[in-house]
Amino acid sequence: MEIGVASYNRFLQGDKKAFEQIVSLYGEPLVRFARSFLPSYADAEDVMMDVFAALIVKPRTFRNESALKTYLYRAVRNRAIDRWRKERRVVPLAYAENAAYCLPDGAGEDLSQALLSLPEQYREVLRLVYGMGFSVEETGKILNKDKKQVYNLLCRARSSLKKTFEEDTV
Amino acid sequence: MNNENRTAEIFRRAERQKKTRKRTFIAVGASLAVAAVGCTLFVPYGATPAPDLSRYRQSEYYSLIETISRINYRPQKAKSNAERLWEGLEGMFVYGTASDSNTVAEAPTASPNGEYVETTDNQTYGVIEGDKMKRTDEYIFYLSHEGDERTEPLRRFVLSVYSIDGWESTKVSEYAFSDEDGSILYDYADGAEMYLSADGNTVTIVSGVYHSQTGQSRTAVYSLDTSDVRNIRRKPTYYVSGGYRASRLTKEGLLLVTSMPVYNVTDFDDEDSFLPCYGRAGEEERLPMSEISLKTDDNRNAYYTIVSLFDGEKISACKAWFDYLSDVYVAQENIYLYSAGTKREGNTYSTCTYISRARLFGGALTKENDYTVSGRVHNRYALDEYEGVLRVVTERSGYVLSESGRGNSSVSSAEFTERGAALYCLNVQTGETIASLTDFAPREESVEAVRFEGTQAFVCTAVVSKDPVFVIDLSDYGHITCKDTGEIPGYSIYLRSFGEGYLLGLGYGGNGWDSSDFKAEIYAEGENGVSSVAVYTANGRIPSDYKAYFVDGSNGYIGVGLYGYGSNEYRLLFFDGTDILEYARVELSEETDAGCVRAFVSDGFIYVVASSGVHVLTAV
Repeated sequence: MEIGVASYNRFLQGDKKAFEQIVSLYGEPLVRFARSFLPSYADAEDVMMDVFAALIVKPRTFRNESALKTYLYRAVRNRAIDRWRKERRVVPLAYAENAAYCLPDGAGEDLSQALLSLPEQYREVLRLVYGMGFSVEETGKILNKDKKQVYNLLCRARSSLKKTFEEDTV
Repeated sequence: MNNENRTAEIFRRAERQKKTRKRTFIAVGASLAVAAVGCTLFVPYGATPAPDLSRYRQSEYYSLIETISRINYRPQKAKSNAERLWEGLEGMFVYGTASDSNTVAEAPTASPNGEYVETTDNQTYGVIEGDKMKRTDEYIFYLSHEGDERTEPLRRFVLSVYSIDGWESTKVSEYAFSDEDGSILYDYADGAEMYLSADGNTVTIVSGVYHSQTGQSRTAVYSLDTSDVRNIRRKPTYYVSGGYRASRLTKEGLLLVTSMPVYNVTDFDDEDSFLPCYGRAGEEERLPMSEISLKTDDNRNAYYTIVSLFDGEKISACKAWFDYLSDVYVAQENIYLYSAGTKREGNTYSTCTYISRARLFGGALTKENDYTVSGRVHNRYALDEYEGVLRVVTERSGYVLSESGRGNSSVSSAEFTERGAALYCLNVQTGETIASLTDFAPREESVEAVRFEGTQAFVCTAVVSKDPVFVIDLSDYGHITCKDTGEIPGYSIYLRSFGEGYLLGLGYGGNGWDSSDFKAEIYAEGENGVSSVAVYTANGRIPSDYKAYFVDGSNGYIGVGLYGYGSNEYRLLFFDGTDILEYARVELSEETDAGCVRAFVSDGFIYVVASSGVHVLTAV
């Protein structure tokens, strides 16, 4: 059992300190993930904290670490998209500018530019698989798609990225 | 924000989310409730057909079933529950009726418990009334309850036996009743009453009970063998259908009057649900149709008034009137069941009293004639049978009802056409009015107390605080005369002869400015009616049950429970021929009901008996 699930189980048994460990473990990555949908860091942090608060109000049972992690990413994604939908009339769509938030450290400027030119669903699947390290199965759970759809998306996203990257560098 | 601060903020948000969730649940619940009520109230009714009774045609009770069904069948006037609810709310403003009690006497004989001594203020000589206390010359038998008498309506009762031995008086034994055969004992309002046999060897208690298995109210007759007061034993219990209304001990036996509603009966397959039953516990039998008197007027409520006679060993006679009769006055041989009513002619209404007479003679109950008199009787003391004449004092009220406006916004207003006190004298056998006296009191006065003494009737009326006592001479029905005291402060709710030539009135408002304060007043009887000779006033209220008043005219004592203004006490007064003096005060515990305290004088001592025990004082 991964440390996140173990900590959450301890929290459910009354150890409040254990929850802080979960926040330490997943908090910042979730903010970065949410930031890719939202215009500001503050909004992303807000979404992350709301998701963790919901985990306290409505406790859930997780059998392994990936289920907790998957749940948190999926919840943050849904909540971030909801937030964006609510605010898009007054706030211009800006999440595209934040795509680089989910890139691995050391990713170059060119790659960032190439990513920005991709359709959103391509960017998203690439971020989750290559940026966040989720497996295809976990990515499917987060995006609410089956494995085959994720493979197809990933395949098309890679081809598209490759094509764009090659065009930009020619 | 570091992770520690983030975690703290997350917990704060979780708290807020919990509160929001709670509010949401409440809001959703309330919305659903409103929606459910809305659906319940406004979904229109379907048509309600009259019930098919053809399958009961062979039953001996067919005519009864038809009658009950006809009365209970109400084609739905309302189109939905909302309209029905509105009708119900309107019905709350219609007023109702009153209640009662009375008893018999047996010749005292020598017994280990001493000789029976009457302590109850019986309305009719030889007809003993049940009470909380009975006694012989050696023992006091007192019926009380477990728990707080004022706040706990469902309480088991307890019979306590005390010795009558001056300062040495003490509790001899106690018998606590337990529920049996599914009956839950309860005592409320006019409650359980007790009788003591002439030899002091049998205590009979009459009480309303609720039968948990059938969900019906019935009246229980409990007998206790008290021949050895230190070892009281229970005898078989008897039941009669219906709630307890009144009882009397007559020379024929213990007379019980119960009232059984059948206004909600529509299923006649279960005969126990609509037929009166009576008999020993577990062996109750249904009353045969031949003993049920059906009324011809179907316009009133579906009730039985059941009169039964318990001879000490069994219920020897039982008869039911299919009618609602709220109270009873029992004379030597006749029983007068009565209830208030209203007569209508167009928009003109007038109050009246329906009286139904039954004869109790030779162990048999027979239904005799019915009477109707104008106006309503205040209580059973307003009826009196004397030498073949039934005298009735009523308070007449007639009015014309007019409506203005339409539909739900219409407003009814009543204009009184007649209002005042009246006295009617009826031939008991024929029901013919042989004499009457109407409007002997001022138009706005209401009857507050009546007491007949032979050929005299004493009536006190009130509306404002200065109200007269009327003395009506009935020695010559061809020439009835009425004299009054003129205006006097306050009014009496109880009148009773107080020794030779005096009349006692207990009531309120004797100080002339506060009609809520207790007043005791002695009147001297003279050629010009009665005149006030002594008045005593005190802060507080007195019980409305007449049996709670201790009146000993021969020794000059008056005793009454007084409550309110932060006090709860029993006050003993003494009339020395000139003034009413305060003789003693007995403080009552907070949980003692002042209306349940009784007192008597014996061998130079005054005994004040309450649920907390016996208080002994020296008499003058």
